[in-house]
This record gives sequence, structure tokens and C-alpha cells, in this order.
Amino acid sequence: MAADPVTLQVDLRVRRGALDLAVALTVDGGTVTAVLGPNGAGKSTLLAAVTGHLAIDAGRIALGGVVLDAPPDTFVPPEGRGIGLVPQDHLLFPHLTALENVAFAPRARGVPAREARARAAALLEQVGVAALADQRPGALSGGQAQRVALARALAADPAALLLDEPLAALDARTRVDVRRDLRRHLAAFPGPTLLVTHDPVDALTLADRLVVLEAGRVTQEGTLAEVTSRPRSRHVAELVGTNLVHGTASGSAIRTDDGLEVIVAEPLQGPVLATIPPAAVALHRQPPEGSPRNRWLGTVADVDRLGDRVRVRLAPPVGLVAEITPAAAAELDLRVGDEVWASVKATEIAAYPR
Amino acid sequence: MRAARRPSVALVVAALAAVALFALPLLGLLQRARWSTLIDDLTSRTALDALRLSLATSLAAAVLALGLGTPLAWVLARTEVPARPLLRALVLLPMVVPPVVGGTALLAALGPESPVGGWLDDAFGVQLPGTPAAAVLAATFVATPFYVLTVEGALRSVDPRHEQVAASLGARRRTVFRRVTLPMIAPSLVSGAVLAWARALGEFGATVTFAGNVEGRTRTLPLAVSLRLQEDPGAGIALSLVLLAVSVVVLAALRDRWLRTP
Repeated sequence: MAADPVTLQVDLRVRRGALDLAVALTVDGGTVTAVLGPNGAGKSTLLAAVTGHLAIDAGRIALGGVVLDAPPDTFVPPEGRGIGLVPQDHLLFPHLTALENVAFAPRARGVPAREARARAAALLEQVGVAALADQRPGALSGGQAQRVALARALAADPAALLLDEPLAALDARTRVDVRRDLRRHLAAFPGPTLLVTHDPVDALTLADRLVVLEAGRVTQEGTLAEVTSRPRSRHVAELVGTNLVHGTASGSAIRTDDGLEVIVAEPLQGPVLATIPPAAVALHRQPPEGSPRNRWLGTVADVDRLGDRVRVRLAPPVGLVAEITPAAAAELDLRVGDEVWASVKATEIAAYPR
Repeated sequence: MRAARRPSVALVVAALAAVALFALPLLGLLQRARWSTLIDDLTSRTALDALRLSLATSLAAAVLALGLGTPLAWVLARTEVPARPLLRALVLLPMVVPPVVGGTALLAALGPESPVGGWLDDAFGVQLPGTPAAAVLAATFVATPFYVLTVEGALRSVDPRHEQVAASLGARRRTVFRRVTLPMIAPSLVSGAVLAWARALGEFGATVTFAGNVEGRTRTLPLAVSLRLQEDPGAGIALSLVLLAVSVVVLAALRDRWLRTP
């Protein structure tokens, strides 16, 4: 499987109550696609269709060339799909220990008990909770349980992984740790990964591609950079239209890959991702004075009216998007090619370990 | 924390009256018991026969309730059968119908005069009434609803997403049921079976009507109690004490489920 990464192809139509879901997406092996959307957009339905807990009305779901669902002829039940699921609130089996939870999939496949337990122990080690092997889920913290849930899904040797809001149930501090580890494990996973989330930060930090789902329809899709820099609707802009900066932190200073220095409020070390909300980027004709600790001189690459806001894109190396009011835009009178100062308060920037 | 509200005198008196209603018969039974001959009363041949028969029929009924009730509870809890409310009403009927009516109905359906009973007689030479099998059937009839209700409730409380995850891990439906659903509802299976067994043990009306009162074959403990009370009240009370002791043990076994304040 590692030698020949499989592709997940989804092209489906499902009607359930008020929801009319029509989604087409492709996830290549070794990559992560995040499906981002508000509650009720159809994310859970999409997930249930891919795992096989819901039959699609029309279309086709295929994994590595194997057709999983293509009404009216083909329907592979969940147990035959080879799709690992990491649910939101871990859903570990409460009557089994962490080790037995992870050994569940090999046991269900008929692997001898001793071998299954050895494999489970190795996976627990890999996700960093080997010491908790004999604990029941009730004794685990949210972060620990979510790690065990990931190990349990991986133990089935799935051809594809589905993550359903894997970090939503965790507190903010745990979330950062689990997110970092999850990122590492997903990078090592050879198959396609579909991540469903309503949290843009999860999508931006874990995924390679974004699919924005609204009211049952894909409103935009593309790489992270494409979607964040050019959100096609006001809604997508609000959801993910944020500036994403890759860099290396040393204390409160981040050196971006484009050579910019960004000052953040919370010190960090090593490779980081930082998000800067476009609304937090202020533009000035004159060098700004006062409190902002980040200011850069850039060139206007693009001015775009989106709803009641104006989005101004600066050319690299600054490469930020600023969102300003039409009144401010009129006052600045910005044209493509103009030089302009951008400033951001350190407290407006959220940085995460990569 | 706020202090608990002080109840009114009238309320206390009414509650005490209810307590007396439950406690007095119990005390009466203990007070009237003929302790000196208790061992002899309980080890007489008729008493031992009744006890043995009661244990056998009630255990058989509990096993039948488990075997028949689990699939039914599953259907009620997890499937979309069209006439589910009707089906549930049918299941609950034996709980509300007077047992004597239940026994009469069983007799009408399976007795020698009925088509099924006639067929059993013609084909196998079997006449149910008067046999231990009839006593088991009567007890199963009244006891199974208790089991079905308990297990259906337990199945509804299991998050079906646990089963969905198990399926996505490659487990077939049987494996999911055996390794996930069953262990998660196991405590309720046990308490449901114990409840059904206790109900079967105490069954009188349906048994006496359908199975009859044949010593050593259908005369279970409750039937023996009723009969002995007329001839030798002391012996009848001794047998009653056995049934009481069993009930106390059952209550103690299920204390986590029922004696806990919700």
C-alpha cells in the first residue's frame, strides 16, 4: 500500500430531510484534504456516506480503484471499506482497556490475540500513550483518549483515514499538542486522509487542500494558499480568508520563509505556522507610529471589493491580505503598484507549532 | 447547599402509612413463623419437591426469556418495524393482564381442545396442561416482558456510533454485537434476567390455570404455599419465608440498579 498510494474519489448526491448534498472531491494518497464548513453544511452526511453508514442516492465513491458505493449496483458495507474513522469524541469502547481498544481491529480480522496485542502495544507507543495501555477509556484525559482513538483506527491498516472534528472536544492547551502529533502521524500515513472540521485552524494546520462546504455544496476548493489568499465568497473569506505564514520561531520573533520578521505575543521555538486575520492588518500611507510591533513596507498587488469590505493583497515578500472598510480604502486611494505600510499588533497573531 | 425543605405533618403521616403497608405483612410473616419446626417444614418431601420444581421452572423460564427476549428487544430498539407501538403493547400485555387471564388464554390456545393442542396430541401424543413444560410456559409468558423492557432500554442507551466505529474497524455485524453491543448492555442483561427469574419464581395464576396443580409436576412453591396454608398454616408460612428470602437476595443483587437515588 505504501508503494502505491491510493486515491479517494467521491462524487455523490444525497438528500436527507432539508439537506441536499452534492459533493465531488478527490483526495490523493499521502495528502490531507480538509472539508470545512459550518454546522448543517452536510459534513457529517458526507462522512457517513464515505464510511458506508449511509447509502448515497446517486454518484460514485471509490478508493484506490475499488468502487465502494455506486447505486444501484454496488454498495460495500462499512466493515469492508478499509476506511479508518477517528470520531470527534473518541468513542472508545468503554468496556475495553486502551490496549484492547487498539487490538479490536486486528482481533476482528482474526489475528491471534498475542499478535494483535503486540501490534496494539506498538501503536500505543507510537502515539505516545504506551503507559496507559491497561487503562479504561473512563480514566483517560481527552487528549489521551483521542490518541488512543487514532491508534485504534491505524491498527486496522486502513486504506484511507477519516477524521471527524478530531480536536473539537479538547481544551485549547491539549488541542495544540494533539494537533502537532496528529500532523506528524498524518504525514506518515500513506493513504488519503479526509478531515472534517468547522475550525479553520485545524484545516490550515493539518490539511494540504481545502474544500469549503456550504449548504450541501462545495463553494470553493484548492490548496491552502489558493483558498486563503483568494476566498471566492464573503463567507469563505470569513471562514478561512486569513493570512497564513510559515516560519521558524525563536522566542517571540518568527522569521518567515519569505524573509519577513513577525513578532508574536507568546514565545515559541522551532517551525511554526502563524495566522493573521486580514481585518487585523492596518494599512497606512505614512510609516505607522504607536503600539504595533509589526510593520512592513509592501506593494499593492490587488484590490478587491468583497461584500461590505475591501480586500487588499500585498505582493511578496510581505504577501499579506488586509481587509479594510470602503471608507478607509477611499481615503487611502490605493492602486495596484502603490507602496503602502502594513501594521499588525503582536496580540492579533496566532502562532502554532508546525 | 440549601437546607432540605421540612415536610408537613400530613405528608409524614401518609408516608408512614405507606411504609406500614409494606412493613406490617413482612413483620406478620416473621412473627407467625413456627421457627421450631422450620427445618422440618422446609425439608419435608412435598416442600423439597415444590422448591426443586420452582427452581427448575423459573430458571428455564429465565433462560427462555433471555433467548426469546434479546432478539425481540433488539427489534424494538434498533429497527423500524412498521407496527412497533402495537408490537410493544403486545409485549407489555402479560404485565398488565391478570395472570389468571393469561393462563386461561394459554389454555385456550394450547389446551387439548385447541387446534394447536389437538395437533400436538395427534402428532406427538403431547398434552401440555399438567406437565412441567406447561409450568415453564406459563412462567415464561408472564416473565419475559420484564426482560424485554430492561434490555430494550439498555439497547437504546448504547450510542450506535460505537457500533459504527466497530464496523469501520472491519468487524462484521455479529462481531460488533458480540464484542461491543453485548458487553455494553451486559449489566442490563443480567438484571433483566434476574428480574424475569424473580417474576417467574412467584408466578401463581397463570401456572395454576394453564398447567394445573399436580404435585411434583406443576406444583411450584407459590402453589404449594397456597395449598399448605389451608391444611397447615405453619408449613405454608415456612414456604412463604423461602420465597421472601429469595426476593431479598434478588433485591440485594440488583441494589445498584434500583436502590440508588437517581
